[in-house]
Amino acid sequence: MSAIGVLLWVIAAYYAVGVLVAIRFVLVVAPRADPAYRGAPWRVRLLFFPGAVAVWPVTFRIARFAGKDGMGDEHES
Amino acid sequence: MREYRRLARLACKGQAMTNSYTWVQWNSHKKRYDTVLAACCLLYIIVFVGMSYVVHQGEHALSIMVVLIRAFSTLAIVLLHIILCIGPMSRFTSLVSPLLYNRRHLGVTMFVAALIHSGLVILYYGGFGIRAPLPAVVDGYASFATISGFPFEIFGLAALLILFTMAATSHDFWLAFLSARSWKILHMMIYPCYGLIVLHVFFGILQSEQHPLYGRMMILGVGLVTTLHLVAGLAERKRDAQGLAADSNWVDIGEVTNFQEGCGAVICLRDQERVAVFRHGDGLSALSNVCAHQGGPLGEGQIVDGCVTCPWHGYQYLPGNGQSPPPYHEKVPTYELRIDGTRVMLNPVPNEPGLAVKAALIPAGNETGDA
Amino acid sequence: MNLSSPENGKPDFYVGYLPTPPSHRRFLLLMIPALCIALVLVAMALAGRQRDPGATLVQSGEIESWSGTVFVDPYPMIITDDNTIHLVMGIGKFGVRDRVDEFDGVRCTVEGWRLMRSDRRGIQLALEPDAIRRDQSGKDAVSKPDLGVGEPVRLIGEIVDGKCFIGAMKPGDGKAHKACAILCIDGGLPPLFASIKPDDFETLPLVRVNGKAELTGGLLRLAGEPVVVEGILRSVGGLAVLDTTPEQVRRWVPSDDESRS
Repeated sequence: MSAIGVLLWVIAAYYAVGVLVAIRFVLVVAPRADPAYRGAPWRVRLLFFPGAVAVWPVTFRIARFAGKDGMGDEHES
Repeated sequence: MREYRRLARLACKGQAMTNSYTWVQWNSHKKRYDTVLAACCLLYIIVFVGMSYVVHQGEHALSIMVVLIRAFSTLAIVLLHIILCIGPMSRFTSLVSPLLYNRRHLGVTMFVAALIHSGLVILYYGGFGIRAPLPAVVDGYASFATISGFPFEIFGLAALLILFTMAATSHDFWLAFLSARSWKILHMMIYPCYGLIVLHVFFGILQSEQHPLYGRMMILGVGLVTTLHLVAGLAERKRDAQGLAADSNWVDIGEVTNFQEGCGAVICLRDQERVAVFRHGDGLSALSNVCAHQGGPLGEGQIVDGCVTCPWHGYQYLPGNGQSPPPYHEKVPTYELRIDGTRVMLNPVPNEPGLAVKAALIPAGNETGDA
Repeated sequence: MNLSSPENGKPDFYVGYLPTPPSHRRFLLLMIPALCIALVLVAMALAGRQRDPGATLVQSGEIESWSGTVFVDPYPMIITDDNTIHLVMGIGKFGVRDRVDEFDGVRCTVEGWRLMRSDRRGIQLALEPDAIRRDQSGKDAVSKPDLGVGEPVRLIGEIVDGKCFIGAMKPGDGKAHKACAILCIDGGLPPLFASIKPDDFETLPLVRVNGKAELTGGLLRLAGEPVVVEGILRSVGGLAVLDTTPEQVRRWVPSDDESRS
């Protein structure tokens, strides 16, 4: 397989994992992390899904960190 | 509390700052902005398509898909240049503030144009064949050693993924979740993205469309963006270099009368964050110059309804404690001020964000605050 | 432009959710029409300088039919009664060799849509299974034309896919179209040679490498970009074939003795 072919598979894998992480993020992590999120209607939450897919390593890290040290104080101020 | 009423009313309409999330925080200005933007994009596409069929007619007519691919790609590039020019231009004149205010919608629109371009390319050039469309387009060949054979589509794909990340995280929710600093770093990816797009154009269409106009316009665009950023950057650097030395406990930042009622002043401290100083009534208060929202220059703002108001997106802070008025949660660091005679002295050590600091009272006889 | 507000001496200050100050309003009233004019000019300039993709004819809509003798090599074609040669191509980016194999040298009726560029003609074969069938008119099949010995040539130009270049896509050549050309040729569509010399466009010879009108490996990757080809050009009755080998095709570089334009 060519270098670009490998790169395409890496990109596909990144977004495939992103979709899984993003589902958990939209349903579980974000409502805990941000009080303003809890009141948001579903169509608005859906708007955050592509972003969660795109930056899943960051959301994953924040969720893990918050899971250990208490969720969301950083953003509740 | 009187001055908060207006803010509370705006908050109820979802018009100012972050309280609860909505799909788009519309207000009349944003609606007008988006209407003009949509009309401009439509106008561009119609003129591009129309002109394409004026110059090559009948048996010489270009395929409509090719015309649309080109129309949306050039629209995206034009929008990207406008986006990149607004920032440095705002350093020279506040007149572009209305463009800056809703720049994110411009960015998302640019992404949509680029997405349509990419979608049409993948469908038209990569579809209907023996391979999957995306690999057929970006991995059809690889000859990295030559310009004519270089797979330019890979630059376009990389740029599109960056644009997607930025567009998908453009909502204020992401600003709050990622923190303003991380969000800003993420959105600075627009610059490598711009570089990728220039490479995409150079290795791609400039190799087959040989009219010199295309190359010249690309050079003009890159030159404009680079020059504006260099000039603005150098001006800011010079301002910082001329900043006050903050090697003592208190720094003299000027005469009391230098501070105009209701207006901000930016104080540059050498090797430190800038400070925004505001005169309100008979007091002077100092906050960090960096807005908690997107890092806008608070000192270039004014006091509106009793609150320090950021010139970029109208985020507001109480001058006494750097906190956004309820129901909002944003906070910026505060600074201590004191007045020695007619001189204003600043303690260059920032306080915790949101810490209340007593305003430095201006002695009688110094009320005139000419800018 | 004066930014000072006359009421309190403070400069005009724009906040998106408050009424627009006069100086900003004036600026916007000037800037928006100026922006529209600039966009129109840019669109006209960019669209107006696109290169001419060449004159082609692409038929769509009603299916047309042709009768004549079908030959499979060097590429599936039909020689109609008026002695015109039409290359037969599939829908999308697929060749039709598997559909015409059994009709080699047989008189047939072919249904599809017409493609034409200069003297090079093509038929996009319809999807129906009987879009190619034996002709029942009783006329005799013609014999395969003899291409002769030909003459050695050295040409500079681009290997294009026969379907896009003769009308399916306009333009169907150049860097932007390279990936598509590779996909088309890989899928079984005919590789044609489009010379940079306008006179040579008339012939658009079929590229035959080691006896087969198909490109593979490194040669396939050279489709859609400027190349120098050496080989034997043979032509007869509207059919031209450029016989070459992988070693005789190389990427064109500016140091080549002939200029591209």
